[in-house]
Amino acid sequence: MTVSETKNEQGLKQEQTTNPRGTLPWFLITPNLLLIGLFMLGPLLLLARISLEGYQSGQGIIETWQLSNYSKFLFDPFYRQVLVGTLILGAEVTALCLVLGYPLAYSLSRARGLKRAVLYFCILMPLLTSTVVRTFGWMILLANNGFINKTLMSLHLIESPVRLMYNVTGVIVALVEVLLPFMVLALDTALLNIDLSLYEAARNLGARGPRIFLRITLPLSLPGVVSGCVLVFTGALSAFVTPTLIAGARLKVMSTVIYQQAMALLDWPFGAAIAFVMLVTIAVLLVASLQLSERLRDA
Amino acid sequence: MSFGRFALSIRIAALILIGFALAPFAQICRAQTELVVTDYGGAFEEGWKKAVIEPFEKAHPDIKIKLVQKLVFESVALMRSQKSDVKVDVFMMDEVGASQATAEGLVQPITPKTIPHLNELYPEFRVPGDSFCKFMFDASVIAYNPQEIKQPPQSYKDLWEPKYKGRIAINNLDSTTGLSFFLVLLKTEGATVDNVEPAFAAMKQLKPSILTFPEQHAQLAQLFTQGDIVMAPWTSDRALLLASKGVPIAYTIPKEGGILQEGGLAIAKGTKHLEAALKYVDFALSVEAQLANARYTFLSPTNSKVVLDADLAKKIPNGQATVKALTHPDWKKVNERRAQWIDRWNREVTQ
Repeated sequence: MTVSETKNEQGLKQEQTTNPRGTLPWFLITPNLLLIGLFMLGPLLLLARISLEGYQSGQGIIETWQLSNYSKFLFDPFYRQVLVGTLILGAEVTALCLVLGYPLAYSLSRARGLKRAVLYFCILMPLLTSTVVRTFGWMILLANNGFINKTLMSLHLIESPVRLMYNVTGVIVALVEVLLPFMVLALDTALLNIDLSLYEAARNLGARGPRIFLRITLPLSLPGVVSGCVLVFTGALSAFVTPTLIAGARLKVMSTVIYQQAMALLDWPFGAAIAFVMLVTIAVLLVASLQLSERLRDA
Repeated sequence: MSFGRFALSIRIAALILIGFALAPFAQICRAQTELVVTDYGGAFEEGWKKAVIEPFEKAHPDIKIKLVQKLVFESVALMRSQKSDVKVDVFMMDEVGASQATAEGLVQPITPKTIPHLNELYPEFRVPGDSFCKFMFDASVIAYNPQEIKQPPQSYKDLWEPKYKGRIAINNLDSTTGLSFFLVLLKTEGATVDNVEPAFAAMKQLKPSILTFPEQHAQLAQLFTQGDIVMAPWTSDRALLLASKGVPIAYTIPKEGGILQEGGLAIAKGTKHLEAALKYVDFALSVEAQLANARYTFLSPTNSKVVLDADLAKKIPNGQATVKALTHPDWKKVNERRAQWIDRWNREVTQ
């Protein structure tokens, strides 16, 4: 993300020299702005309005202006716990994706020619299948009578099935698999951007592997780390299919709580308010991490 | 000779052009009304298409049915949002959803005059004001794996037995199957709609035994198919449907009885195809459609004139006596309290 930003800035500077008034960039972003305005801001405003209405079971939505939906969420320890639990789940998935994705992205960025093409394709391939299908695949693997438990039992490594599904463990495993490509691709872009002559210089000066990694590779790839983490974290927070299918009602995350309010209880106002709380939380975290990434780049 | 060929090809070209020019007129001549109706999708839909949609379209060539899949509460949500411009004409929903939609004024009431087959229904399946009609029923049951459990469970209390720990599933309370189980629980625990305390106390004891809380029929079907569970409260038709696919599953109505669960058809208020919608609903209540539906989906007919095949009659709950024996909950009261129960269930049972 940051790499392309740098490139964009260079592009912008060139543009400004040929087009001093700088109308072209505006011209270029207009279609996108219109699209976002119509299909993103419009529905969001509608959602904001609904979140301020009331709801009476058996009567439907009551058109009022009230903040009670927000206070109902924020002052209830149960719902606060759902929010905190969702954030923790997101953090765990992000950390695992980073640990698993970094070595993969590193070897991808070092590979050349056919090897890189094959590796790249392998990483992208899961994205060609829908999340629902991949989640069902995980259900077959993780179930009590699933592939993993059956194999372990036939090898007499375990007596009774290990509970891998219907809890948070299974959700983390499946989400890491679903979101890993985003982390790897973000890291790959950052790693590719590192000037190879830096490594030669370091080696000429007598630095060894670990030192080169800590002093050159890691710091220079940090913008990629931040953008990868942002992508994975927001993906994990908004995931709906995977927690629903793998953990079911036992695991309460923001997306499933919103779904229950909106679709099963038909309490749209409360559902909309929860959705807004989640949106604001994600926005705050996003802005904070983008600023962090900016600071890292300047440093 | 070459001119003759040229003339021929000109003629062919002209014919094709005329054909194209006339095509729109031909379509106008066969102008079809497109009626959009919802159904529950999945395994149910395969049977519903064969039993109702296809014969209906054959009988009414001027009406084309478009099926969309909607679960009950999605349907109420859709009815609410399309209020000012109705796109979906007929909704398939259970009592809980239909009475909610009726209360919100989203339903076009019917009469025996507009739906002649309404008079053939068992009186239990008529609703006050005929705001919608019930086209099928089933019973809440205990489904079990007969390979693992040799003796059919006698009582709902069997679910509490320690030997089934981690091998049962209870549908989440926000689904219809979950709600029916909860209503049975009120009965077995001596609780009432107004005092649900004993039911929640019993659920707390059952909690460690429950593997998971599914929300949809497909999830329960997968749990039985994979052998992850051996017993679960479910509905008669779904258990039979799964059994017909070769999965080891049987059902029993325990001694405490079962809840009468019904499926209804509701016409959206403000539909632009009222006449076609009425024809569709009336057709769904007819003897032939009800019989075919029972054969394909194992859902019991609500039309009293239907005579089931002998082996089918043994399998599915049917007849006036069965209808009377099943518990008929006070859905209005249940609806009013449902949200509170679910909120408590979220905190105390699934947490």
